Amino acid sequence: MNAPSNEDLMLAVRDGNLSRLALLFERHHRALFRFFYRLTQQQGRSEDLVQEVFLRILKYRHTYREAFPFTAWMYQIARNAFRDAAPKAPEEPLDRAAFHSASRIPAAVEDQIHESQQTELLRRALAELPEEKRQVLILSRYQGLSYEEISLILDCEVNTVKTRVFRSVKLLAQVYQRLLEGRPA
Amino acid sequence: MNCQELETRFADYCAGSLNAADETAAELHLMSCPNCRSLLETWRLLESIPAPEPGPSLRANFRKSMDQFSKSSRPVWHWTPAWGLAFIAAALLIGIAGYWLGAQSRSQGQHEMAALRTELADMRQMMTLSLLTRQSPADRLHGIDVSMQVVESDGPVLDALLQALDQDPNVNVRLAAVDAVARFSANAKARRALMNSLQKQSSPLVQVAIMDQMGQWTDPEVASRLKNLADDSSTDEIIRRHAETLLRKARY
Repeated sequence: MNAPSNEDLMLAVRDGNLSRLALLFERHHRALFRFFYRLTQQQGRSEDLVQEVFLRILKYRHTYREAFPFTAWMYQIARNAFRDAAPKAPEEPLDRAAFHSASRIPAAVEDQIHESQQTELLRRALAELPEEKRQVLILSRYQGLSYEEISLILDCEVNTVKTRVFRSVKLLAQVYQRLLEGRPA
Repeated sequence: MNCQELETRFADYCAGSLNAADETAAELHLMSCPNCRSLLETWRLLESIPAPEPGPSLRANFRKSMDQFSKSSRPVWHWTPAWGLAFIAAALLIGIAGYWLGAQSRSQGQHEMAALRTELADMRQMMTLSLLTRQSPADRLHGIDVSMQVVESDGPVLDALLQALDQDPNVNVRLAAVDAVARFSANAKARRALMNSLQKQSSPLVQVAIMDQMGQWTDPEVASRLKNLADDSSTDEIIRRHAETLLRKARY
């Protein structure tokens, strides 16, 4: 038997079968968490936001329209939840902690350290990008979404998404290069 | 292909969705243009940025939120033209038979609350079944915790708990399963399964927990099972003494 599609599950939730949301949660909460984590670099805040998204899905379930891709609808809600959430005090990011611990690795694995430093600089460059560009890159690079789905999420043409991807990467590369050279902003 | 042309094709190139001719042209340009090549390298390097997994509390918090939402939610009206007509019709009906409609409305409200409770029970059942199959003992313990709110005493949840009781490799999970199954001790199937499990358990802790539950039942079979244990010289000393104590207390 085929597993029910996301859209079928969401239609069932919309029509009152709330228990089907548990399955949608199981399918999507990790990806959603990583989306928020890449935006905020904060574990606790990202978990709160995932929670908020699923509450909003419940609250606004009647607005879900048949044939609209569920993941696109979910990320629309996710972006709104992120926009609405008041910024909190920054936590120590987990991957930064991992980067710190990497500096205790013996000198024999210099290449790995170099890679860790590159990754850390790139993470910082990504964090410096304007919100819109950061979201385009995260959606297109990490979330496994097609450009068509991203165009639904961002409510724009597919070609606009592709152009935005290019421009966002271009800016990211510039910021990354600046950080590599140790130049100030 | 030049830099400007690549701008419109870069995203498709990264996604591997260019046609063969455009892909070749893009590759030729990337080979000759260090600026555009640095963009591709940056795009590829993005993959190296790690992201952690969510903590275990996220799933528990989701369950709590669902519970709270179900408790606080009320039937919601969404205004549409169809509702407008229905509203006018309802107003007329109220004028004609107000008392009757009031009674119907109360009945409808009760019906929807009952439906909501059923949905919540379905969700708990599904979460229990899903969590009990997890690799992590913490998840399986959480599954047993969720099962404590399942009311139905005979069904897939009981079966899953019995399987955990007999087969889970983790003692803590089996101990929790004893308590969870014992909640259904009014059900003969649950009682029989607990008694049968006694011989399958390798841990005296779990055996004692099962025996303590048995000591609270009035099932006539309990006495003979405990007596067998107390009389069997191959039984672990702790278990034998515990069986004797329970027999004395219950005066079977």
